Amino acid sequence: MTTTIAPPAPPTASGSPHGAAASPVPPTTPSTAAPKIAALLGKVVRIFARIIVSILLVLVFAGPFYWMVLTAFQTASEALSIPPQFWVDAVRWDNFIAAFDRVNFGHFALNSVIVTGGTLLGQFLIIVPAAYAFARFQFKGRDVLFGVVLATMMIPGQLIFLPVFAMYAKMGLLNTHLSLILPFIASGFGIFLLRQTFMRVPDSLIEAARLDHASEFTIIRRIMLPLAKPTIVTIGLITFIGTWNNYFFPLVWTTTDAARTLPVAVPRLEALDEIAPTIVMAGNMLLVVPILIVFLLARRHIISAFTYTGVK
Amino acid sequence: MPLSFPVRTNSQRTTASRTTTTPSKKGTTMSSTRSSRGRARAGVLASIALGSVLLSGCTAANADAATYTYEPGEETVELEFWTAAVEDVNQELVDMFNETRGEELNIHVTANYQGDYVETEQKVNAAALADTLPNMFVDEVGMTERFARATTTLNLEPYMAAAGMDDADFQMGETDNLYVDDEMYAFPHMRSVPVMYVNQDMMRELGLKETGPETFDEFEDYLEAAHDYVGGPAMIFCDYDFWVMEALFYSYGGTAVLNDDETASMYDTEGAIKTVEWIADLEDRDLIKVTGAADVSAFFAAAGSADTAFTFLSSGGIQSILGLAAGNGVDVGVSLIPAGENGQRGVSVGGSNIYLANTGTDQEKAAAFEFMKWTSDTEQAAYSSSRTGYLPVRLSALETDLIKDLMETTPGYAVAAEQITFGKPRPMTKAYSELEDLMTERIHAIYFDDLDASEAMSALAEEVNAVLKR
Repeated sequence: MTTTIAPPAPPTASGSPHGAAASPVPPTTPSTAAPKIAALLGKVVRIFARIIVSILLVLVFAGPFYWMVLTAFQTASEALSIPPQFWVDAVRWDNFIAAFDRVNFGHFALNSVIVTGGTLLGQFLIIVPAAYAFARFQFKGRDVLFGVVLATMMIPGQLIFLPVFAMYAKMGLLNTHLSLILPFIASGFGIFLLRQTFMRVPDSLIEAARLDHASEFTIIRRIMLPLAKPTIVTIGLITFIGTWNNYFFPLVWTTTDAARTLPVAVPRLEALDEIAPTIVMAGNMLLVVPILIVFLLARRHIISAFTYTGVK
Repeated sequence: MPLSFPVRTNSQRTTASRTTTTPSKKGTTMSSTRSSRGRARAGVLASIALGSVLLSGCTAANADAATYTYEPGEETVELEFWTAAVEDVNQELVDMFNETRGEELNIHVTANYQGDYVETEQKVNAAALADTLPNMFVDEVGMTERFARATTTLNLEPYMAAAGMDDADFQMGETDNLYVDDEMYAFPHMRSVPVMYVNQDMMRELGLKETGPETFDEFEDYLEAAHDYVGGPAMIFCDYDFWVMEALFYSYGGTAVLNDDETASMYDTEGAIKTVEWIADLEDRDLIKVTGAADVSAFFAAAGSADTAFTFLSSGGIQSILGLAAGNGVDVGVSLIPAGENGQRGVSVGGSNIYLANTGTDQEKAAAFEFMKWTSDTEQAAYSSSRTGYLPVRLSALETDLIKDLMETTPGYAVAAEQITFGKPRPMTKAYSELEDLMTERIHAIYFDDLDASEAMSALAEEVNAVLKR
């Protein structure tokens, strides 16, 4: 198809083709209408494609969540009906009550809070000074040590579970909350991300603080941390989600329920005489709700952190 | 239907072996030899010598017996029991023990759930390395040899000899998975076999036997009729559980997965290739739909649906499948997996064993054996079966009122009990967990990628052999 390109409008006295003193718009002719229609069509197609892609993305990401919520409120026969039922006739809380009956949810939830809180606190205490040192100090072996920190991100957990289990057994740490906190407080990812943020802080700010006799601790507390707030919130959220959802380590590093967390409890909701996953889904909902709440509270900071990183 | 369970011949061998190899027996033999020698002598010195020998012999025998016999002491013996699967029933058994026999013997057991069979195996292996093994644990039937060879578990024969018990009552179908080198290393805990769930409403509608087909030839005819009735495949065959596939290799192809000594694959045999070709053909003809692990939910949902004619699944699911079908208003029954050519049948016996861990003092080990003995006893075996849908692990449990009532109210249990008489042992090689994943994936590809079954199975045989030789 051949399209005719319309010549640009002649400049006006104001120098703008659309200035106030411009001559009246000439009547639309077929030669100028075609590109406008094509442009309009292109715009409509782009908007339509964006809507379709957005709907597909929502289906891909939100679909499983919707299915989980739906199943948690369904009866067994509704959950297993063919064709699948995409709604509930009535909201039922039976599955949640059954979930609380089957396992001691309060105990596991408390363990999850202790382990997640302990990991967050420990990480904050470890990664902030570590990232500051890697970002702002020159010392021998710095790059090698930073490489070692990065390398820890590449070691699969399955590789270390056995030696760490044996070590915990010798140290008497099995079935303690500490055993589920200690290995995760020195987060290589957190140190890396925070180091990058600290490196972006202008040297002049730090020099000015030093001139005012600020200690390194004061510099971290008064300058670095406020500027790195979005990054810290993001690392905190990633750690929160990872620790809260962690299934493998709380399972393999514990042999009793003493320190086990919620993700280990949820699969135990399955009963032998049931096939429908309704009660397990109710348990999953209880597991996911705190994450959603924290995400909603921290959303603004996360977007800010990633936007800032993107601009740089 | 009266069931007859042929008593395993190597059970007798085992018993004979046990009586000749246990330390107590050796001690007794030694003392009697020496006493007859002593009787041939005269004189005071000889008598003194004889007396000394007799005393030392008796002392050795008593010491050996004492090693394997539990004697309640002043303090309560605390034991740890790791469970896998059916957590609630295991906890109930432990509570019952603590309140009854445990209280009499001054033994207290704490149950700790460890996850599924594979997770429990990993944790047992880790605990063995870290020297934190529990006193006894439950795990899958096929793991007996791995645990025994790693000296993670103990030979039960000396304990059984000291307790005066034998293994005859455990011979409920195939029990090879309890033994290593003819020595008993585990007690059976829960037992299940694959069975065929039949939509009896559909069978009646079609004018077919409501118990379903008895042979695979009949099975195809029934599937064709069911296909015409529902307008599509009337069976989902889910190949995620290789255990069911083993049953089809035995029953349809007349072959095992591995050879007898588990050193080579049998996949390049005519029977194995024929079995896979047959399943692929049923799918090509739209008589069945083959699904994998990703569609497990759909598979279970279909098992109790009005449009499903047959489902091959564990007898351990009797309660859940029948309950699901009843919820859908469908009458589902339980039948034997059909017989192959020449009436051949065979299913791998699945479920779990209870193992005595190689840890703790002699008294703790003997106390742990007391718990295992009690848990596996007739009444408890019947109770576990009635609570789970698994088969009882003792022949005598079949004679209890509980099981008799259960079989009367749910005839599927009797079918499962008959099915186990065609039981075969699961492979026990330590590579079998890895091989199951490999075999499932490769055979799945034959159905889904329309591969040539003969070529694909030969290639798979080579892969399996390579793993076995590693």
